[in-house]
Amino acid sequence: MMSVPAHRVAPWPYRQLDAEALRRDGWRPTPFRDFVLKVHQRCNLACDYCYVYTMVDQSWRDRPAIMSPETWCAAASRIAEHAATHRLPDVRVILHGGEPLLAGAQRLSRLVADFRAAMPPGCHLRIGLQTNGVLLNESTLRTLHELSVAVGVSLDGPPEHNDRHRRRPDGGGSSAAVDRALSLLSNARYRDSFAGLLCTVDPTTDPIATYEALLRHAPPVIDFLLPHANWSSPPRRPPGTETPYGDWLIATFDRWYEAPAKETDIRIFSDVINLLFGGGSRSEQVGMSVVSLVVIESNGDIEQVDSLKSTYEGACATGRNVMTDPLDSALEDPGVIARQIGRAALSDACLACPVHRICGGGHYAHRYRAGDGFRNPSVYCADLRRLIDHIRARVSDDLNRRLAAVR
Amino acid sequence: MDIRTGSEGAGEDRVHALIDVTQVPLAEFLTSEETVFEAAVRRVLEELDQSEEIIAGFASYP
Repeated sequence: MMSVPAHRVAPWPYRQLDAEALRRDGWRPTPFRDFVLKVHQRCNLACDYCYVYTMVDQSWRDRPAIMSPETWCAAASRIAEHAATHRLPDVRVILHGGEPLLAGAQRLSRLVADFRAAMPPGCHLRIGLQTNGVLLNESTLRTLHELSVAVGVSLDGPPEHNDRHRRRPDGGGSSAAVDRALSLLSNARYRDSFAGLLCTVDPTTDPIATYEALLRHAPPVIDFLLPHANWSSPPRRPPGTETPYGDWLIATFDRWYEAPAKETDIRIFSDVINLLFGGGSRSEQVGMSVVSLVVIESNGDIEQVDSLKSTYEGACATGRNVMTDPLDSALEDPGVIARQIGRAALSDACLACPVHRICGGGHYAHRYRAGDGFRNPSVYCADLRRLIDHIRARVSDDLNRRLAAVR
Repeated sequence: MDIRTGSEGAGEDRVHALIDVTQVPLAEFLTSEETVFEAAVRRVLEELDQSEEIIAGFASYP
């Protein structure tokens, strides 16, 4: 499928971002620190909201199903080169897909060994893996544990919620298999391999039941993600409220915040509180922290964060490949630059908003509008505003109460 | 909002959504409890000591 040139579907940033002007003003790119490796291009589930398979970009069809040793060695070499050039003290490689466990434990073992051997002295390599959990049995988990690979699992709540969207190709639910995997990860023996849970928000579900179902597995952290959508492909919105996603997140926040002791970390909430206190964010969902992440596809293509597959065909492309190009060259891509320039990437509407320093315009992919590009508020703007206002009020009240108590 | 008095500053009109904690003795709130609030205070204090730039990384990993 031939892609429409990026500057036509996304004038901002591809025609309108002036990288030279940014450099004259003193801006410099931040080196990549996270490298998402598409070790397997296929998946054993058919989740109905998946940005890889169900949305406008279908580039997975033209790529090898599995990453070859030649490609991963080239990727390792490029990452090592990048780390040495920028004297990076640590980098992180996330094994991803599709479903990375389809590559098999033996193949992943060889890949991890090659990556560890490639890193320059003084650069610590951390390795993670994001899986749907269905293939995570004890033998595989033992291998990953021995390799010091941190495992993140996707789960959308109790079976009646999770199995609405996260289904096998035959239509059956995935919960039972994921529950078995999480029982293994919760075991004391493998506990330190458990990176956390990823949950896509469905505002038609019970937020408390969802949170408590995830909590049952004692995750160190939960990421609640807004489903990838944009102004040209808006999210589903149930009737009765203008901010269903905000309402859902607020209910979850209150349950989490009011617990007598912190039960787990919820990244989006922790980031909002930290931003309200003047700190930074560690995820792309809120805040304006530099995004230092790049994707290496199964054929070696160097690509932008693949959530952009939800916007237009070819949105992730940089035109570069690890076989021929250094990773530094991708830092010159306007799409990569756009996610490293903070306020300069925000629309006038965002800059006029009192919460823009916290919201940060929301997730970059959610700002897209066809023919216009990415310099817009998030399609979830109202939801984010409601959530941030609520958290601000709760935390301010708590702070005032505690101040009164110490006087 | 002035967190010490709870009143809006003159002309602020919610232009700035940040909670001003510059005059707040955050460390005094730390106890042996580990509530969400206390964890948030610890994170703020840790970041003040941190020299590295805070970056946005891949979800689900510390």
